[in-house]
Amino acid sequence: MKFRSLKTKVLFWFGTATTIVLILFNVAIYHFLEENTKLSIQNTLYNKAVFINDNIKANKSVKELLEHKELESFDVAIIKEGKIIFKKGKIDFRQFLAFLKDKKSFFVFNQGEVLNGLYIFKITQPFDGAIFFLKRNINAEIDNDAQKVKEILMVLEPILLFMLIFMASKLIDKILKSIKNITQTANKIYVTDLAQEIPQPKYDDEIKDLVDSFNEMIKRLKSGVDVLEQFNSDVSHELKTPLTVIKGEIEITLNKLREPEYYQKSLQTIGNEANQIQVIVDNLLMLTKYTKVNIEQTFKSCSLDSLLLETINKYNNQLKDKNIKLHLKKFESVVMDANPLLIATIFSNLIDNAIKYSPNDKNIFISLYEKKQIYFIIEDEGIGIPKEQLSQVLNRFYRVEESRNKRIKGFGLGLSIVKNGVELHNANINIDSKENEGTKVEIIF
Amino acid sequence: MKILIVEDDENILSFLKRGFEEEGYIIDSSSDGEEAEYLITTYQYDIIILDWMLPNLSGIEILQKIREKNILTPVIMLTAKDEVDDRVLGLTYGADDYMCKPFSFKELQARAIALYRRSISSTSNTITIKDLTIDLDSKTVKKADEELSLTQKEYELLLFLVKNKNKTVSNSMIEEQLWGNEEYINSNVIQVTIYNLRKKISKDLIKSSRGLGYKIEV
Repeated sequence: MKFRSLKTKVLFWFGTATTIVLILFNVAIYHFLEENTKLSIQNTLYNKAVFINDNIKANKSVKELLEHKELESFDVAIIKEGKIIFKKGKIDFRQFLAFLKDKKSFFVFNQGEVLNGLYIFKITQPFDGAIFFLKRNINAEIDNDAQKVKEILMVLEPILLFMLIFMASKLIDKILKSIKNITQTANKIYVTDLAQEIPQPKYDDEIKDLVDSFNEMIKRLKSGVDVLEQFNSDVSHELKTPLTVIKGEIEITLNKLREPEYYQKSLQTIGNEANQIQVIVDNLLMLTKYTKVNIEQTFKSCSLDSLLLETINKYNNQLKDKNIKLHLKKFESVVMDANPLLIATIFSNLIDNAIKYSPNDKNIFISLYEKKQIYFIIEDEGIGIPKEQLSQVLNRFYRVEESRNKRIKGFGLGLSIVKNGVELHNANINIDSKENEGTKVEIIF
Repeated sequence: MKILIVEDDENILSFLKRGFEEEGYIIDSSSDGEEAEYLITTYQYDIIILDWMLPNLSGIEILQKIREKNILTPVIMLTAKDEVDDRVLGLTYGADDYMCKPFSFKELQARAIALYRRSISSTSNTITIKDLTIDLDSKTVKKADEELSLTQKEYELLLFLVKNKNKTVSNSMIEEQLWGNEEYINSNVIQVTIYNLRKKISKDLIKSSRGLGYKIEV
């Protein structure tokens, strides 16, 4: 069965369970009553038998005895030496004589159509014999008792059931109220508005646990959204600067007719800025293109040493310009499954950084070797990274102290691309740096 | 009108300078926060165009410092941040206007003129002194409906005197206002400019007190 509301569902099952319990309860009571009535009849019959026996012993006349008002509603027979010597009532007791053989006293119920309750009481004095009692309409008596109880229960039980369901409904409302609060707050939560928090319930119970974990979830969402927003604002900031130059340069240049040289210079500036935008966009794509899921399809067997040499060759001019010497300290041929584009980007970003942040005439040391794991190590003698900023340099768009690096072009994406690439290859990166002494970057595959 | 442009991106600074100079404004520029603060506290500008992110001292910090020193020069903040909170922060710290990058140069110029106009407490784009009417937008001066042909420097000098009306301005103040810090002038140029301006607009308007300077009395 499908229920739209938890409340009806709980109430339905609660009602069903209660009804079943009540029915079982009724059956038990009925059974108990029946047994009880039978027992009380048996008791009565036994008392009568004792009464008769006592009187016989006292030599009272049987006739007188049987007319006694105590025995009015019973069929009675007195048996002496296997024969009925006296009988009162319509019942033919002869058919029961067989019972006498092995039992002293016993009680028989519902024998066939006629018999309802027969009590046989054996006596030895003043003669060997028995007294038979028959009580008719026992069933009617039992039914009568049961009927009374039934009537009471018929009225009581629906009232009881109704009260139980009513109380259960109130209780469910009370529980559901806190859940409704949660639903209402959850409905108010948007990516743009995560300031909502579900009010804490008064008591320390499961609902409070639910509220707590819900609030925790909101907090986690918020921090995730904050990171995204920061990233968005960083991207737009980085893109806006070159855009401002392009827009402004065009506006000023078009203000009036100018010399060809002016247009040339202006278009050159615009071209440079457009290139910067392209670099940012390419880098961002590089950051988001690959995921842990799709990276492995791009893996192929790469020779890291030749990739590294190719990359170093691209930086020959820059190394010459700053008169920086690049030394290969330990260089082995290493082959591994990797994405060659990402690996080349990791190498080139790290070499680029080492050159950019080194003063003229310094050295750069690179090692690549395999010793259980594959190690790539690059050390420079550059300006270094202040200790307190080491943890942040891997973040997107993070640049150490804007002012210090103003003359050095960059967007703060290089190291985060390295970090991303390293993670995609299940490798580790360690950065160690001393201000004004140099930086050491170690990647372990 | 003398404008200080503080912007650390050399390309943005370059087109802003060219744009304003071509429109005849006198431009000083800086790409460093501390230097900018020094310039603002040392020299007098009509408008300051201030970038938010600067090395050494941010735009907001400069703004705070100069407002504390009671320098009330109108400031237009330039920034790539476009969150409402940032804009509010800028305005709370005493910026007079706010432009988000990328912006239109024409709009920046129009806002600069509007701020300047407000700073000389005029509500329209024309200033009238006796029979002179100065139109700030078209940079023309009319004397009793007859247009005067003033050179750029003469026009700037007239505006400077009008802005400081009833006050005496010295030669050095004029030099500082009409020529950027990078320009070196032979002081005779100021006298010649004053002479020509007085000749064009009538001698009585600009009073000269020997050794002290000049003033327009209204």
